[in-house]
Amino acid sequence: MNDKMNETLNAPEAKAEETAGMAAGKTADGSENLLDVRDLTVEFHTDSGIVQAINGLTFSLTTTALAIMGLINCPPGFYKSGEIIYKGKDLMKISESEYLKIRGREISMIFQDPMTALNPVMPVIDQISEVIKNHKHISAKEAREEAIEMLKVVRIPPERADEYPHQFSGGMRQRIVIAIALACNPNLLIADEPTTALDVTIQAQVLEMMRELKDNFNTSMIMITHDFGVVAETCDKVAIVYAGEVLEAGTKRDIFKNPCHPYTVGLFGAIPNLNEDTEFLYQIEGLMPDPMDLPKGCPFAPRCSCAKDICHVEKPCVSRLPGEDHVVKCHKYTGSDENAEIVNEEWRDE
Amino acid sequence: MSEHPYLEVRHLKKYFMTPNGPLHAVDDVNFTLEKGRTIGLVGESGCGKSTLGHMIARLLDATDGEILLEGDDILKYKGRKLKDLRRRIQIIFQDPFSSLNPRKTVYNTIAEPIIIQKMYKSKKEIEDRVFEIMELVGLAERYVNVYPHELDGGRRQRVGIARALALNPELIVCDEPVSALDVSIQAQILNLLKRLQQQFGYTYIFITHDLSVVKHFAQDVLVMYLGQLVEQAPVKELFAHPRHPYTQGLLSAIPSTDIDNVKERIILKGEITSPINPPDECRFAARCEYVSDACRQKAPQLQLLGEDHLVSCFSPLD
Repeated sequence: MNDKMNETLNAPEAKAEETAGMAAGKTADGSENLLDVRDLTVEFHTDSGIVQAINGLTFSLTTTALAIMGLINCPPGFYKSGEIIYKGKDLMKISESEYLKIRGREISMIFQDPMTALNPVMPVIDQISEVIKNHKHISAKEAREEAIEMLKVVRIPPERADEYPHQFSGGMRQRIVIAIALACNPNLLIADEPTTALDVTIQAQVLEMMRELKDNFNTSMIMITHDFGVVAETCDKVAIVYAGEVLEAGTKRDIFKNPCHPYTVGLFGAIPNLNEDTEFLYQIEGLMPDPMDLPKGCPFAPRCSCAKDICHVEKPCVSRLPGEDHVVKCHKYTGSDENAEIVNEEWRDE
Repeated sequence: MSEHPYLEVRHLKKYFMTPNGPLHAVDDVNFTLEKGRTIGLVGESGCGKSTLGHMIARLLDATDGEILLEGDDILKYKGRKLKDLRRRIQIIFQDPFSSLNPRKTVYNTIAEPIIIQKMYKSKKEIEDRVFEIMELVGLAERYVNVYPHELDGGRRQRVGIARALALNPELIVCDEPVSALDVSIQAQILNLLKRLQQQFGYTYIFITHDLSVVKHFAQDVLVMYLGQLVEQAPVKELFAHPRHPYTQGLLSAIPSTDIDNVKERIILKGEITSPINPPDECRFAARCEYVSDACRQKAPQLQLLGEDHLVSCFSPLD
C-alpha cells in the first residue's frame, strides 16, 4: 500500500512550518533549540485501510501542529517515524499524563476558526480559567482573577467576562482564544491561521497584539499562514511547505528577497501587488498532488515550469544557499554544506 | 445607446427586523455602473456588502429604493419577468463548500439553470453546453459525474463559476469568490474571471474585503461602512489618495510583503458600532481619530471632491 503522508522537515535546523517567529525564543540551555522537529512522518488510515487524503497546504501544516501538540488521534493517525524534541525531550515518547502537563502550559495553540474553537455553552471566563486551574492547581476564585487579568491583556472589558461566545464579535472571539492560549504563559505558541477568518482592520489589531504579547511574554511562535503579508509582519524565519515537505527555508530576508525554489517564486508572483499594475497574475498551473498518491520525485514537479526529467523520478536533496540558514530542496541547485549556491548545469543557460 | 446607465442603484435600503429593533444592513446606497466594467465593493464583514450584492441579484427584497437595470426597476419584477431577469444577472458565492448542493453531481449543478430557463431543449444540446462551460472554466471532462465533496476548494469554486456562466449572463455579482482559497488557486480564479470578462464583456460587481485583490481586479471601488457608502472613486485614485479616515485605516491595515519599507500603521481602535438602531451621527465616529462635534450631531452626506471622487465625511483628508 502506498500510504504515506510525509511531513518531513529535513532542513538541518528547521524549527517549524511555513513561518516561524523564533527570535524571542528562549532556550532551555542556551545552545539547544527550544523545539526541533526531525524527519517527522505521520500517516492517516481510513476505514478502507487507505491513507486519509490531507489536501491542501494548510491541512498538512495543521497536522504538524497537531502532532507537536500531541493531538493526533490514534487511529486513524499514526506517528511513523521522526522526533519532536522539545527542550531536549522527545515528545513522541512521553506518556499522555506527561503530555497533559506540557499541553496548554508550555506549548499552546491558537486555532484558525474562533467560532468553533470556543465552547458555545460556557461563559468565556470559565474557558480561560479552566486552563489556569488545571495547570496551576489554584482555587477557582484565584483562577478567575487571573483569567480576568488575561481578558484585560487582550483588551476585552472585564464586565463582559460572564458572557457567552456568541455575544462577541469575530475579532473579540479570536482574542479570547488568544487569551486562553496565553493564560499559562507558554514557551511556544502555535498559531494556525489566527487571522484568516478576520477582516483586515481586525486582523491588524490581532497581529499587533500578538506581536506585543510575544515580546512581553517572551514567547516563541510558530505562525501557520498562507498570507505573505502576515509573515512579513510577524515572523523572523520562514519555511515554505508543499505537500508535507519543506521545500525552502531561511530567514525572512532570504525568502522575501531571494526566493529560490520555483514554488516560492510562483507564490510571490501570485499575490496581487499593491504597488504594481499587472494585467494577469502569475499563475501556478494545476493543483496540489493527492497525498495518497504523491509524485515519485519532487512533489512540485508536475506543476513546475522548469522541471526536467530528473525531477519526476528522483527526490531532490537539501542544498544550502548563501545566507544564514537558507536551504532549498530542488534539483536546480546542487550544493553541500560548504558550497555556496551552485545552479545545476542543466539549468544554467536559463 | 440609451441615456440610462447600465445599472443604477438609488436610495437602496434593507432593514432586517430583529427583536431589538431594525438592523440597518444597507442604508441609502446610491451608485451607477457602466456595462463591461468591474466595480469593487469593500468593507468589513457585517457592513452590508453581501446584502447589497444579494439584492442586486434579486435574492433578497429591498426595504426601500430602486435598482435600475438599463432604466428599468428590477425590484418590481415578478413571475415571468423575474425569471427572465435571472438569465441576465447571476451570482458567484463566497463559500464553495456550502453553495453547492452536496447531492447533485457537477453535471446536474451546471445543467440545472439551463433546464429551468429552457435555454436548450434537447438533451444533446444541454450536454454540449455543460461541456462547453466546463472547458471554459478549466474543469476537466472527467469531473462531470462527481459530487462536490470529491472536489477540492479551487475546483469547487470553478463549478460555482460554471453554474453562474451557464446562462451567459450580462452582470455577475461575485461575492468574495476567492476569500476561501489559497494564493496559488486565488490567482488562477482571478485570471479566469478576467479572461472571461475580456472574452464576453461581462460586468462584475466584485465583493471582497481583500483590498489588494480589488486593486488588481476592479476599475472603480465603493467602500462601505455599516450599511453606508463612505467613499467611491476609481481604483487608482482611491489607493493613491484615500480621503475618508476609514478608507485610510483600511488601506494601512493591509499587511505588506515589502519587508524593507515597514509602513506606519493606523490601527482602527474599537469595535464596529451596532447596526441595530444606529444613532443619527457619522457611523464611523466611534472609531475615527479625527472625530469632531459635527460628526456627532448628524450624519455626513456623500459629496463630490475632484472629478469622480465621492466621500462622506465632514472633514475629508487631503
